[in-house]
Amino acid sequence: MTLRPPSGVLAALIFFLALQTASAQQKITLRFWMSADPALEAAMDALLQEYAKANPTIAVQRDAFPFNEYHQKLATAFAAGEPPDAFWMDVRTAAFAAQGSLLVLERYLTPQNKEDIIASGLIEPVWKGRLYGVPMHELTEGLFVNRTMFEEAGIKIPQRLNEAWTWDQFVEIAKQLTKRTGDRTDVWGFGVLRHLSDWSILPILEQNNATPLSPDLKKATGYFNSTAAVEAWRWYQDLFVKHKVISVDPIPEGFPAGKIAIFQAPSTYRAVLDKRYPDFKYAVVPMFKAKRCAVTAGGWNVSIATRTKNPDAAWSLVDSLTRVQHAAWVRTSGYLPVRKSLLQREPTYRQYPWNIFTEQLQQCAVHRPPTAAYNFLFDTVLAVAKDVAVGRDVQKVLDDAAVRLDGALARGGR
Amino acid sequence: MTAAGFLLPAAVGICLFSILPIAQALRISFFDYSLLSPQQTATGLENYERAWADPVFQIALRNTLLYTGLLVCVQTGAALALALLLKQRVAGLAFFRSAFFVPVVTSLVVVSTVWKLMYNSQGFLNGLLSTLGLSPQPFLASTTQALPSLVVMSVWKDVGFYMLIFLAGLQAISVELYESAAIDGTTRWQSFTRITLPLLRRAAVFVVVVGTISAFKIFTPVYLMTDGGPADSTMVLVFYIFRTAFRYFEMGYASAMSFILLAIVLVLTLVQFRLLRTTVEY
Amino acid sequence: MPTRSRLQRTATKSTLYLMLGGLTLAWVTPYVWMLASSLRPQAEIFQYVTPLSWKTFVPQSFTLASYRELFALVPFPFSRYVFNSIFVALSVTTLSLIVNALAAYAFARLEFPGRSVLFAVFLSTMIVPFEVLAIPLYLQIRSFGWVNTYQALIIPWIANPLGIFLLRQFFQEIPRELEEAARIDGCSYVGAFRHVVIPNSIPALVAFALIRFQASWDAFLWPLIAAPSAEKRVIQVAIASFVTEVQTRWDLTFAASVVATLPVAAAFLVLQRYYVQGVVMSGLKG
Repeated sequence: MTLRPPSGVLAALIFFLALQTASAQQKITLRFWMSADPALEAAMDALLQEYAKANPTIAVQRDAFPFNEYHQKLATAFAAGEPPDAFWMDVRTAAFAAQGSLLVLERYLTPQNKEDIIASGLIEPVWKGRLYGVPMHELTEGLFVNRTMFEEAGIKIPQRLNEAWTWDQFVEIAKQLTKRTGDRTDVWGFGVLRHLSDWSILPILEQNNATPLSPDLKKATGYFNSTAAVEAWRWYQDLFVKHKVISVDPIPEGFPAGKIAIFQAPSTYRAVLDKRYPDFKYAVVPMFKAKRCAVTAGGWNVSIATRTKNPDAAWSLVDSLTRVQHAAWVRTSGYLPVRKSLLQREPTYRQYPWNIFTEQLQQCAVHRPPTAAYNFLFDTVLAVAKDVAVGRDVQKVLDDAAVRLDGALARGGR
Repeated sequence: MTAAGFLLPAAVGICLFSILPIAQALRISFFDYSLLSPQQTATGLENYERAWADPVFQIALRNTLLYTGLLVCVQTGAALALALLLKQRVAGLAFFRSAFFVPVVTSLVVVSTVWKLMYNSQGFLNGLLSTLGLSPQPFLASTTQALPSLVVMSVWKDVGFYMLIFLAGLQAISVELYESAAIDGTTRWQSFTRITLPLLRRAAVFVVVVGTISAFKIFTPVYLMTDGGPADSTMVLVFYIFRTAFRYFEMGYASAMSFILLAIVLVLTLVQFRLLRTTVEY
Repeated sequence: MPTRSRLQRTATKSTLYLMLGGLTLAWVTPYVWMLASSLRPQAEIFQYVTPLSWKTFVPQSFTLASYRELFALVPFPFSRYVFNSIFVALSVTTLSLIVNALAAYAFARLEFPGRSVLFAVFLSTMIVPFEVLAIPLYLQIRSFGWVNTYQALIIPWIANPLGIFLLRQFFQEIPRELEEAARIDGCSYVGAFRHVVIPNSIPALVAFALIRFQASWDAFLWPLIAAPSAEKRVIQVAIASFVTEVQTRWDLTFAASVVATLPVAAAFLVLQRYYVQGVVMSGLKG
């Protein structure tokens, strides 16, 4: 983690600008919230600095909260009538939009602007046909493999989307690379960064053509526990219980420490590996597939609160972060571009290894269901995943979960 | 009138920041109150009925009772045992006492974070087991081991506190009692059961009652270490209430469950006081 | 008592020390591991765990990088959070001592109608879990305009029924004659309180102060809700923030944990004597 311009300098800059313009014009202060991560916050601060230069009459107060508590904090702020003006929002757009907390952004978005955004980026910020957020970036997953292990075992490393492994091929390779001594596993064939989360598991259901909820997002029974879903979950369970290629507990730092051979992680993980483990040899490989390819796509959008006192100023901030400075953001944050213009302009994104992510984004992207009861869905999938990983009967677990989900969807679909 | 002067600041504080919010929360429990919406519809006892029928609530209740029972038993026994050990005129008493007490004054957030990693399949405890030639255990990943694992961590953290209570209780017992019992020919076991235990009753009441109330409110370890899993095996009441309020934004239902929790704790406490009530003096 | 041979006594004593030694090891080891892990690079933390060896506890590549990074974070270095925690905890402790001691004295010595009822009411609020109160309390704080202020972190925690209970127990132990003597000499109740009760209650007061300080230091949920902005953030919330979207920064987490543990542990170790005396006496006679 490198040092960014100290907060003192930024504060002094804003203060100086404020002094200069205070007498001349009315100063607007915008409150902006994002999810906490030191690297992302530093990158964001750089963007905000540029924005401040271009907009001397607007001051931005940025705050960040740990991801686990981020949405709670937002909800509490809304409940108390004191939300931030602009803030990061993800697949939970529906829950907030349903309560009238988010500003509809159609009137600000020009047709060229909208056209420039790839289709995948306009799924999560939309609720009931209206747009409540603008994407800052995209994020998707891939498989990272330990290059040394693969070379030693003589396994070919696929580098193109059409070379992606099938489920059976993947299991064989994972088994081959798993090493045990007696009871103890020294090397796990497979590991997942977002261990047992909907983000990494839903695409596996989709690969088998199963969707978690009905298309209108109102029902779970018949979808969450469909035959295809049961099949997919059983395959996943076998990884833990039958083939034992993945550990029930996540292994911290397992991949760069050589304890995991194949690691499913978001595209941002590249930056982490390059920075913290520069000597570690890895390769990026497309996600495995079954009846079709599927990878979760999603990311942070920026939304505006309906209650904001300065909607136009808030919009200018949103526009700066999502469009004007998009290239800078993508470069410093390590996320993927969400704008066609950038994808076309920059050849890097068409080259290996970026192309694996961008191609998957365009051809295999699936999204988490943008239901107002998203948190409940997330917790349910997590609980189901844990149950499945320890070996319980898949059909029963899914049936029980589907019933609970139906209840939550009925209640949550306000 | 002087009394009023002495009491005023505390009374204002308790009224404003305890009693008023409790009343507000009670009121909310009779409404369908979503955190995100300004509208509230009065629903009477619906939230309470829902809790009665909610399988997750029942699981949470069962787990909380299980956890509390297990913890209080182990903790009380361990605290007594440690106190008896330290009572044996040991050199360096202060050192040993400190060692057991430092976790009591370490924050639960830190303890939970460190123990989460200790229980990890690649963590310290499994390292210890494999060095001793034993097979690694899933701990927090097992439906049967997860709750007991939390109990072990809680005992590790808090037993020092309860040990102190027992130590003081032991020290208050007059040595002459033991001496005269010895002259009468009582065995050590007999003097333990007939002198020590009865005279420790006051300390035991404190340890058991405070331990119970505290155990019932368990939240942070579940929040940081297990998320209620696996398979809801560590789903406990306060965690479920918190999740209902802050993740699903259903304040009305969460408040109703809180009051049920409150009622249970009150009953348990009263029962304990009744059962353990005594003034034994020799 | 039947006499035992010298050998028997030594054997018993040795077993005792062995047991105590083993137990102490079990209690102290997690801290050693935590400290060692904060002084080595993140990758190395899990390298030497299986099998367990001396290398688990002694960093092979000793480094202060985690601490350096901790105190160089932007926009606020960790010292900011440490300051916030200390300031809030000290304020709560001081004000708590005053307010609760006064109330405890009223319950212990002053006769007034409805005394037991009021005491019972105060105590009953202890049983309510904080999570029940969180939102209504937050809305209340907001109506005072206290969101994101130190007041929100301090004031709701001053009046403390458990403290009143403990201190009342202790005050009741002080011989009435002492106070009566003072009052005969012309002291008011306040004077008796100041000159007789307080000086004789130092162990209980110190114990109470330690308990309050630690409770404030340990607070997690409330600071998160009430004072969210980075400049008022406290240590426990900061530690939680090291679990980011991409990966857990265990090196920073351990370093932060060490920093978070030191002050309270140090305070306890120095003032142990008071704590033990005070808490135990009030707990027992209760």
